[in-house]
Amino acid sequence: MKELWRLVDVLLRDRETVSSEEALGRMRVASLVIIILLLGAMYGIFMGVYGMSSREVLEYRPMVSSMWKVPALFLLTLLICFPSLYVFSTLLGSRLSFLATLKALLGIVAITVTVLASFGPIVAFFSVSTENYAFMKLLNVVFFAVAGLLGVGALLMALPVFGSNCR
Amino acid sequence: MIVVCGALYGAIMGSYRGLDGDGWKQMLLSATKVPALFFVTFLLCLPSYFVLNVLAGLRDDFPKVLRALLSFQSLAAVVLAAFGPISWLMNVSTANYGFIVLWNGVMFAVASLLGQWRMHRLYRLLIAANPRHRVLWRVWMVLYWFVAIQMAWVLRPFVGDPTKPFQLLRPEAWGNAYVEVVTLFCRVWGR
Repeated sequence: MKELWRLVDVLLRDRETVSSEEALGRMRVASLVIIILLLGAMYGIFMGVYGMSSREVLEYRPMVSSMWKVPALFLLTLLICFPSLYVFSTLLGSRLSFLATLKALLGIVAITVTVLASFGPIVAFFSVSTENYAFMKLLNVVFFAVAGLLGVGALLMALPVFGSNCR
Repeated sequence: MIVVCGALYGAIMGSYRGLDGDGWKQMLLSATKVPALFFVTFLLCLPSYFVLNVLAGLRDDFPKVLRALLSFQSLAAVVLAAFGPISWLMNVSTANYGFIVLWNGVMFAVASLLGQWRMHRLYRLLIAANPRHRVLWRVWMVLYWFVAIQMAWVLRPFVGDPTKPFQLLRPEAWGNAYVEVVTLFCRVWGR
């Protein structure tokens, strides 16, 4: 667990880790996937508080479903897009190996999910104090957008280094 | 300081009903609600603000940032406590509940502005060292006020209407301040 938190800290503190082949080599795919699963599930739980508390009788199932849906959203999207991304980046001359490219993208998703999870307490507070479904949807969209933009920012920072590895 | 001064002003706010009947309960409740308003809002916003600071490469400055953020809370609480005697005088000499609510709203606004001024003074040193702090400071203001407004809405009543029975929270507490404002605008400018 300590190792996982250290990895999160390294990813946030030094975003160049996702763009340096040497740093990518030190990271483990399993650790990155576990971070995404844990932090995504954490945000899912906070997000599911609304589904649980907005009913007349407390219902735990919306929370459980959001708990697996958030990490699934990120990991399945990556799974679907990764093959084409890898093929195109290789065709365009990137020398990053299959594993290094996968780690770089997992690292970027991990950054996104960490930012998202940090908004969790705010989402939980609004969930218990808000009845309006549209407001809660909008709030979650805003937090996903902010986390996504910061993740894209990390990707953009990594791109020049991807480019320097080009033939 | 935040707890003591916040509780003191909260108790003064809650004393509007007097001490007869359930009056002491309102006083006690408001004494816990004011520090809770400060602390819980702060704690809810802190994780995301920490992550954003680390992402911006400002992790090493975070102890100083934390001090600046806490200085806002502590100064606002001290200013509120200093306004306490005036608010108490208003409580005992005014029968109009609406005026008392408005008065306390003004006191909170003044205390917050002074707290913000103090926080910005501390932040100015950080901004001078690294301009990225300016962006983060604005982010904090948006995040903190966004949560604080909803927190204040949820924790109502702070003063307690003497014509109504004692309430821990308003029956409609589980509403959303922003949704209420939008509804109000729609009602005024709509049909």
